[in-house]
Amino acid sequence: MRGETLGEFEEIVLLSILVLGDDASGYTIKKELNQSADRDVSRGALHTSLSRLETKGFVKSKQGEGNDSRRGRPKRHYEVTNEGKSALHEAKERRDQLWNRIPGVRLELQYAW
Amino acid sequence: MPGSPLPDPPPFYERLFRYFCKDELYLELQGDLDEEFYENYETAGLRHARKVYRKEVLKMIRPSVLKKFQIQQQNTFSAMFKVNTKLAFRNLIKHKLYTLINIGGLAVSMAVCGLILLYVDSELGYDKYHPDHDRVYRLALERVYPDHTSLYAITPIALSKQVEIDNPEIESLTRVFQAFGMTITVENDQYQEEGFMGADANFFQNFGIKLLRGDKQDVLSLPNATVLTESAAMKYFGSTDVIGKTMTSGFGELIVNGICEDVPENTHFDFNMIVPLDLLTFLAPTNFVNFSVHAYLKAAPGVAPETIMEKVDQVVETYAAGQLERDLKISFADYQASGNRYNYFLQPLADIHLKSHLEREHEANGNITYITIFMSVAIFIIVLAAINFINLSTARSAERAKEVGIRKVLGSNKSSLVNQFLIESVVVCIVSMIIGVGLVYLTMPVFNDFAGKLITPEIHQQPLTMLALLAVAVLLGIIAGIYPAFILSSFRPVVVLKGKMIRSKSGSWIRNGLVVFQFFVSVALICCTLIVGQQMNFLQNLSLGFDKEQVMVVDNVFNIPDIETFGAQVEALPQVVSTAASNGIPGIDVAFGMSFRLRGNDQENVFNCTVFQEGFLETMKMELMAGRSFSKEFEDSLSIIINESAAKVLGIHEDPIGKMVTNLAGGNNPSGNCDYRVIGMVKDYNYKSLHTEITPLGIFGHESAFGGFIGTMAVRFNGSPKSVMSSVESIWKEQFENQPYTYYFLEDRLDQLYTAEAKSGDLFLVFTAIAILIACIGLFGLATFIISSRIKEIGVRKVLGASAARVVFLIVSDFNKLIIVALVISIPVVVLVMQGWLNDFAYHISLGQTWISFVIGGVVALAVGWTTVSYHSIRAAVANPVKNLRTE
Repeated sequence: MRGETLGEFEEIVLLSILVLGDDASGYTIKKELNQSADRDVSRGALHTSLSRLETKGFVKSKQGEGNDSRRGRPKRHYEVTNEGKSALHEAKERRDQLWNRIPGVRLELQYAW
Repeated sequence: MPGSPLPDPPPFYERLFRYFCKDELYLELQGDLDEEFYENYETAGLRHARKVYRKEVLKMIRPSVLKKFQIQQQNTFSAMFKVNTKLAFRNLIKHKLYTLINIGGLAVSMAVCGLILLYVDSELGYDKYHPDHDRVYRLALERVYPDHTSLYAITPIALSKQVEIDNPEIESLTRVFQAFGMTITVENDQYQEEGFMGADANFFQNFGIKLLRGDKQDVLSLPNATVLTESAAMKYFGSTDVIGKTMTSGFGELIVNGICEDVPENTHFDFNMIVPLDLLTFLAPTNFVNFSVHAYLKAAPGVAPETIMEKVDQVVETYAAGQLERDLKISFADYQASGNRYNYFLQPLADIHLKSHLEREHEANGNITYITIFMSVAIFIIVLAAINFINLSTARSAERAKEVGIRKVLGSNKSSLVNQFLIESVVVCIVSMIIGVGLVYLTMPVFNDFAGKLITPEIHQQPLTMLALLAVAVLLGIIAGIYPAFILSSFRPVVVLKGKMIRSKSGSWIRNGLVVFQFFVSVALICCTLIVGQQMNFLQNLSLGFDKEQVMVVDNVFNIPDIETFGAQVEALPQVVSTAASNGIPGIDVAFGMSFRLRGNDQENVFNCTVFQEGFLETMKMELMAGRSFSKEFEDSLSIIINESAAKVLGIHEDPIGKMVTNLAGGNNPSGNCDYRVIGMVKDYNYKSLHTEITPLGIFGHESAFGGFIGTMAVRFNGSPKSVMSSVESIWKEQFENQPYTYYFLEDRLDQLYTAEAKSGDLFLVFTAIAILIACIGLFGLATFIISSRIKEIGVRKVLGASAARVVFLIVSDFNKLIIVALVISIPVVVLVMQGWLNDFAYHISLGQTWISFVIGGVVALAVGWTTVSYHSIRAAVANPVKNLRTE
């Protein structure tokens, strides 16, 4: 571990960027989060998270072209770096390990609640 | 995008974002916002897009997006703030007496304001918990008689029903027959129930009183159903799980069909048990003329009360006119031509408690005048406290002048000094506010007790109120601090550091003005309090036309088989002077209405009527102007006694005895016209509240057709009330062991009728005392200032041979001028305000009689002023002049 861990929100932001592929920019990520993760995220909150991910080195971004609906303003495209991807895997693994260690009965009990 | 031009995002928010967003992020983030805006515009429309845009911009206000606003300046500002706050606290702690007076005065006045606001809020909150209360109106009546006009809260039982039937704009109607006394039997135990009320079956649908058991729709739909309040259920059955249990009343057996909460305090009526209106058989359901029930109409949404009123007038003409014509045998047009009118009007439900003072209200209502008076007192008290603050701060200018001088020399500029003083005063205000709120919590139980209220302050549960209070404190701090702040910070360092005193002409003008204002308010409040007291005293000592002292009243003699025997037994008691029964006690019970006409004259007159047993007039010590009282020696079944007003209306004032009057058929006289001979004329006595004037009254004897109405017995006694009460009780218990024994003492009960006024008067007195106290604190501060600036003058005078008394007189006479000016200004204001208040009473003192209040008010103000000032002036005057003169 390199001391940089992923928050829950950061994790789904990274995943959304991966889902969007080449089309990942501020607004599309926000839309993706609203739709697939069913969370009402403001652009401001997303910005905070994205810039933190960038300083951690999990995403990199480059400026792209504007278009009419942005009134010509440039767009920033985001891409998950290799560190980002391995951090995701790490997070998933750690979580899977924990899931696997839960005894079946307790799980059932929880569901049967 | 082809065609129509695209709309812009909200311009204000666009500019706002531009203003606070970091420059390097602006273009991209604005692009995102725009993209989302236009997409939302196309999918969900402009409104939605704008809404989302606004939300998004506001949510952008976060550290990662916000521009750094001139960090340098921010740091010095917060550092200054810290230092100033610390200095403020140090200063406050250093001058303990000053701080105590200042914060104490402010805290007390804030607490008083808080209490007043809570009181006013609770008074204004009456009847607002009923569903759709803003559409509910009570039908009330202005009844114009040829000789007078009366306002009634009650209306004929059939009239409002007909109005509802004829009028689709009325959603529903609930009629209520005011709570009255009733004997209740539960499993062989008898109780006297004073809150027995009748209501239409939809009562619980239209009023917000919650049902704990039973169903709103049909809880009163059984003909003999009853609903008990929680406490009544506990009283009768010891449990609230009593659905289906039975109890016996004067209207037969009742089945408990529901339990409701106790009637909330903020309701203009009260009851303990409620029965269907139809059960009250004495209310003839077809009566369109005689008033009996409170009618509450709920208008359909959007219907103006005026629309409904048009229909009411039609119903009067169609139905009431017919009944009147049948009873009186004259046409409705003639009846109206002789000066009779039924002017119905609607009162909004929530206005009843404060604005309605008609005859036959459910209970004594509050008074909107008191609300305005209390609110103005609250404002005055806060203003007084703020003025104190100004006076005390400027008074200390001499002490602080050096501090200001040093600070200026060290490079402080004026605005930072102003800041310092403002922060100091804001700190004082916030601390006072905290203490004041604490005081409100502490004094609430006492206040509730005093004002007869059940208020719970809930400030700790309302963050918004807390914020508002904080804002008020800050605002007050700024307003009160701004004048001293500018005065103190404008000192010229060279002058003050040399030790010269600062004295400006304009400054003293302002300070004197403030003191005059404070004394004006105090004197006005003292005078108002005294006048209120005079009026209350007047009412209590007003000749009622009968003697209320030493009279015990035994209620419920309806139920006993032989009143005369019982009366004779009571009269045989050594401490009893006389006894006699009546249908109701003057000032307390109702007199019923009937129409009369002088024989040979076709002028109708409506009289209130009452029934006296032989000897009642004498027992109550009423005065006969002419003729005789009822007597066993005469056959009095067709005799009537009238009061002076009635004689005047009939035009037989000069010689009433032996005249014949006809009692016309009507709701209360179903047996038809009947002639009575006038045998006596009684001096007008107050049979109604002192708020209303005496109107014509007819008195029937025990042997007349109305003899059956007799139901209360007055017992005039000598000696201790307690022994009479218990002796009569033992006779009662012996004879009617199953009947509850209920009694009261007339004087106590009559005084209770004016408790609303008496209570408000007491509250007013307390607030006045506090206002005066606060004004004195201000004067104290001013005296400190004036004397400290004249200390050398006093020293020189003493050296030159002036006596201490002479010096004190000199200083005090300065203040006298201010107080006298205040007194002169306050007189016209008080006269104006109190004139209005006094006019609310039918019987009131004339303003000429109030001169004594002004004299006392002025003397009190002068005395208080002297005492306050003399502390400082005597101290300065007796001090050794050497000490004062050496300070240079």
